[in-house]
Amino acid sequence: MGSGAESDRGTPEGCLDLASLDALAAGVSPGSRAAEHLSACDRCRGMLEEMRGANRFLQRFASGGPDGRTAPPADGGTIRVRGYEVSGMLAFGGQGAVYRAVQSGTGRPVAIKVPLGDAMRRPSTRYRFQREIELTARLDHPGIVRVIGPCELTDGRLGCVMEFIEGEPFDRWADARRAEGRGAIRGIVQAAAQIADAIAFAHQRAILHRDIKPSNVVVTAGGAPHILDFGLAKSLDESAHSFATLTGAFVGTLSYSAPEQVSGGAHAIDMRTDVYALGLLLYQALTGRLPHDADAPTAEILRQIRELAPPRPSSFAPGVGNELDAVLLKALAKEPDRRYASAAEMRDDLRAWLDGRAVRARFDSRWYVLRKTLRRHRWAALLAGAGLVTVTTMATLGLIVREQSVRARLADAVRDARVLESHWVRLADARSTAIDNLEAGEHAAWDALLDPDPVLLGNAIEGIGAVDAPKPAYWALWEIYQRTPLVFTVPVPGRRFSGFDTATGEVIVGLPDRAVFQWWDPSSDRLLREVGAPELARARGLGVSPDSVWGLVIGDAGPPTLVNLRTGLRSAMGDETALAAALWNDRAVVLVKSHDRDYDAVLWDTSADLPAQLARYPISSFAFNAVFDASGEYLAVTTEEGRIIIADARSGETLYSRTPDYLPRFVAAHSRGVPGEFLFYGAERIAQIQMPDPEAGFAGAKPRSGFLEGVRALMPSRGTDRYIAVTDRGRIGVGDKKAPITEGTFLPAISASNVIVSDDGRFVCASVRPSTRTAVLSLEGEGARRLPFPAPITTSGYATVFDVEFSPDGRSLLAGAMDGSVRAFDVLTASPIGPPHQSLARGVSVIRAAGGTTFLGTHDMGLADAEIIRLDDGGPRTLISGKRWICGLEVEPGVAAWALTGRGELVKLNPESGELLAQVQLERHAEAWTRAFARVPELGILLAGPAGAGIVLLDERTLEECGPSVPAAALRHIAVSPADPTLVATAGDDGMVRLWRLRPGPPATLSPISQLGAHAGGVFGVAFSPDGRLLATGGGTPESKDIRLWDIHQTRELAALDLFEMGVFDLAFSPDGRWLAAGGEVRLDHPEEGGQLFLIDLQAPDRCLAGNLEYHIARFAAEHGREPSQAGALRRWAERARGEGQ
Amino acid sequence: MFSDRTTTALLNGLHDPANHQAWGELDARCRPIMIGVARRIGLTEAEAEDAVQATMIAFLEAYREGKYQRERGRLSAFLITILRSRAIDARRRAVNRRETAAPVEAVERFSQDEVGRFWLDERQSQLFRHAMSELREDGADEQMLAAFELFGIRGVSIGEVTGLLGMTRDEVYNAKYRITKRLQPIVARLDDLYEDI
Repeated sequence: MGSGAESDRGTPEGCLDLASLDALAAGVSPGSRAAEHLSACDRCRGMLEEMRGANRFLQRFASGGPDGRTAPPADGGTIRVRGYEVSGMLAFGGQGAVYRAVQSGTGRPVAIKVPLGDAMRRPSTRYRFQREIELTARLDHPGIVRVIGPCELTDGRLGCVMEFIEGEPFDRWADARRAEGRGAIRGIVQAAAQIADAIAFAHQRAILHRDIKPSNVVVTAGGAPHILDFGLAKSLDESAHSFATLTGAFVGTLSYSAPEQVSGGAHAIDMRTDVYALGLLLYQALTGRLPHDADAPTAEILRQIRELAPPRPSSFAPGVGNELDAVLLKALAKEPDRRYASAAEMRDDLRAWLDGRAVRARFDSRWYVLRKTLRRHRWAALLAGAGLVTVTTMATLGLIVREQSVRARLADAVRDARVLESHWVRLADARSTAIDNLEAGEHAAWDALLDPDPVLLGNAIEGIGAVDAPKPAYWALWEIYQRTPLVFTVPVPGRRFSGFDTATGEVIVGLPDRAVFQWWDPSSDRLLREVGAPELARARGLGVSPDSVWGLVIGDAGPPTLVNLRTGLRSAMGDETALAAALWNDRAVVLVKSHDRDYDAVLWDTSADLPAQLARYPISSFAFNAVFDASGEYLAVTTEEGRIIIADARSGETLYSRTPDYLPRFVAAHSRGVPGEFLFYGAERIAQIQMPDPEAGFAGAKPRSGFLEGVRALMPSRGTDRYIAVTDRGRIGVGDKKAPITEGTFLPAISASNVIVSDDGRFVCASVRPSTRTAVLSLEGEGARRLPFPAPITTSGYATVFDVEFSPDGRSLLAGAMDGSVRAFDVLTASPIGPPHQSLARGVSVIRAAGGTTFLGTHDMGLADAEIIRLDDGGPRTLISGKRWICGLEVEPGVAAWALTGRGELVKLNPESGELLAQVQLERHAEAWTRAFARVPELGILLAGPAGAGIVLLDERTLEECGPSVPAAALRHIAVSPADPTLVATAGDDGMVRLWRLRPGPPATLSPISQLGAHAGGVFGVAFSPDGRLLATGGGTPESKDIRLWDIHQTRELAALDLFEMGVFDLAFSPDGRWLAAGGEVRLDHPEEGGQLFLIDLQAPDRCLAGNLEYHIARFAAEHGREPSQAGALRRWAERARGEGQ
Repeated sequence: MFSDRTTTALLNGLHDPANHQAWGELDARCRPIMIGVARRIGLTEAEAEDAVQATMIAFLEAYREGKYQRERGRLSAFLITILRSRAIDARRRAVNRRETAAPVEAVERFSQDEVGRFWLDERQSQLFRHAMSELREDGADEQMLAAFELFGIRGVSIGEVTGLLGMTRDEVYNAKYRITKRLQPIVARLDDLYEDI
């Protein structure tokens, strides 16, 4: 628009600015000055007419939106979510859209919130959003809209499923109450008190809202308010940020922001921020306006929020009164310290107002308190006054004593309340800080590593700080590498084509700008060699044959060029311009528009350096898609109009030809690496055909799901069962060749092109955006390797892994399972050592490796007695039997073995002979399965937690109780820190992870220190790292099956890994702290796969980063003129990491 | 698949049974609209696909048998009639197969006029999507498109859009009017192409 361009050069003197013109074009009446100007200025009048015309035009797209203000987004306002029937959009705003839906199985009405933009495609944001949903799903309060859980849309986006509440926004509801007049204020305050109660409830669980505003509070027809989006505001904000190109700009609801929010600094946000927003909500509800001018320019709004003292609400609504004035002005104080310290305090004051009691906000006025008390108890006061004289003398003495007592109790209560309150404040702060740090570090590091902008890189590297200490950025990196396994980047800018040399594992990069092929070593980030290829300068496509011998370059015009990548010899293939081509080891097919203007497929023999034509057949219309199957026997071509030709790839003989039926059409052919198989993608369906009978596949074509957004290419990993799908949006999907074609998972959201999968299936090489660099991504997944734990060796049950134990030298891992087998694995190669130990007829519940000997505790599975077995060179030997099941076992070679049994007994025996040395009955009714048993050798204390008996402290020599037992219900695990024997961790069915301090006494005592947080379900596995710095916990139920890592010193969660389907049973750190082993349940749908057993490399990120460290340091130095301040420490750390990796 | 052939040209091409291209283009034009309509009257994804598939086939057969005559009504009206009845059939089949608990009446309650209004809405969406994708292909600035969509179409407030996109207010206003100006001729052309649909 020409007028718009003019405005770029500045508004001419006296002319109306764009905002004014836009308002006028939208129908706002011009003021006198504007009207006067318009009558005199042709330019402004012209612009206004033009803008009115534009608005009329836009009206046809913008009208009919769900709330009358907005229109559905360009996707038509519909989404698809598995398990739900979406019926339409409820609302749309800056943060995303809310849809109404019904849960398919239950018919339950729900609302689904889908954040705006692409932020949720980032693994970090997606993960955090999911975690936030899981956290807030635990908020069960009638005033909070219940979050049911996360959901995934069929296009891969993440949404949040919530309880559907029918009602209207709080402001609209309040407007209606005010219009009714009588009783309006009381009704509004009652609702506000309920909202405050709900906020207080969440605050007590360390969850802040951060975006309380009228549209986030829905009031039902019955007048009950419900708060929306609790705990999600931050994730949603980030989602809104995804539209932004400038980070750091204020995003949110400006008018409902607290001074500390608009002043910047997430660290300043705490419970009192929500109190402020609640104050605004109530202020607006009572007066119909905000305390600041919400229509002012942004800068002015910001200034008013920061500086302008809010006018008394009673000045706008006289019925409000002084008490509510005081409540609101306290809630809206500019300094958080002067506000209510919690929503609970504000709620109490609102209730006090409703009850006619004194409000705390006015406690500074003693006269006010007295007056209020007297007014409330005016009859009692009168009577008291009448009798006052007669009883004064007696009462004075009594009152003094009573007052002292009340004061003392009050002081205690206040102190307790403050302690409690500060605890929650600290917790909320810590949680918020942890999330912010992770986020900041993660983003900086991710950006730096993908696209090493020196400043970002500097931030990331500098942020790592002392590498020996766990700093947020370090853990952010840990997170990144676990979830976004970028292992290598080729530092080559510009347009390029990438491939793998399958013979050597090197990365081949074709650079059109420089007309060369380069070979890179991904393990060292080094350029190995390069070969000139002038054809690349005009290339628009590059293919590499499966054996990496041939490269095929397709240009904008002219024939394709075949390049021998070993010798550099090049040959033109014919003289016709290629539309597309496909390459096999000794053959190639080129689709051409022939000289007689028809379209042909030409099959070439490429076994010699000079390619020879084998066959030529017509394809009748434009085609850009040809593919060989995985055996090289068949060749498929699809034309734009949907014609499909399958030919013998050796002779060119047409085997099958499908004339496009009118429906459905299939226009893209792919092979995912299964011999004889082709996949044909249409707009709605996917046909999976198997030669030599293609018709059956077309007849059984399936509706598209999974890779719904359209598949640009499929690539098999020839050495594995994996295949890679690259979608139209550049996302990389990973599928299993044996699985249905519509199943698969996506790698983290990277816009990728030129994607090649390595022969061993471990890596994907891709050009990634926005970095415009070639990256090699590991497909190993989550940084964890699943160890093969095959089918049960007995029929007694599933092979669920009960216990994992590293050998003392850390080189092997032992895993005992419910089928009675014990298997050993080599840790470095993650491969089994020898056959499984199969001599046991029942489940292995405990394994202990001590002094070169392995001890097993068994579980009788209800079939026979349990045993403690000693495995040494002489084979298995039963030390003791008849104990129902062995819950816990501790062994000191040559001294004793201690075991807790399923009958609630604690036994001590000779570890060589099995002689029973002592026995004590702790709990007669201990029938529940528990593993709560630990030994603290340094203190000579045993900690046992048989079901129902709490934690019992015993002298390990005498088995006598050496201190008072500690109540603890349904314990599942006890662990003692190897670095600090007085530090004990417990966990159980309530999902809470607790830390305790053990004092030897006498008497010994176990006192609670802190709670680390909760898994949603019970916790079965708990393990300390050897240095005592980390605690790993594993959820034992499908609701909470993740493994979490906690920083003991900072008492905060560092990371969570979701590897298991059903639950974790046991965790163990290797003695060197590098590996974490986790064993658990079988997959319900695949019990034949056996128990799940993972080995997690905790130092993988160290080695990955170390590989690129010098490059990053050099970039930093080039930009800053110096090395990063931590360069020395980083190098030492990298060296150590590399050394350990070898 | 999208071509510059008018509906008339495409319909003329349908008389030739071998002209799959014409059929494909018409299908590409009508199918998304019909899927959207079918979803809006409450059909599940699978039901909608079935109904639309049946509608297209029925239309093609009817057209080739000469049952549809353009002078007697718009193509869209003809398709809407078929679609509504096929949608009811699809729901009935789903009920018979016990695939859904939703009754047939839930679809039947939508009158021809209501379905027609949904059609117009979906047509608008389709035109808008096409026009926007053309702008994108034409190299329009993504940030300006985002500002246009948020401010001009979705009604997000100017303050929110400036915050979201890191643009000044003037830039957002400019985006709205510049993109609109570029969009108008594209939509006009598409309107012509979508004649009768």
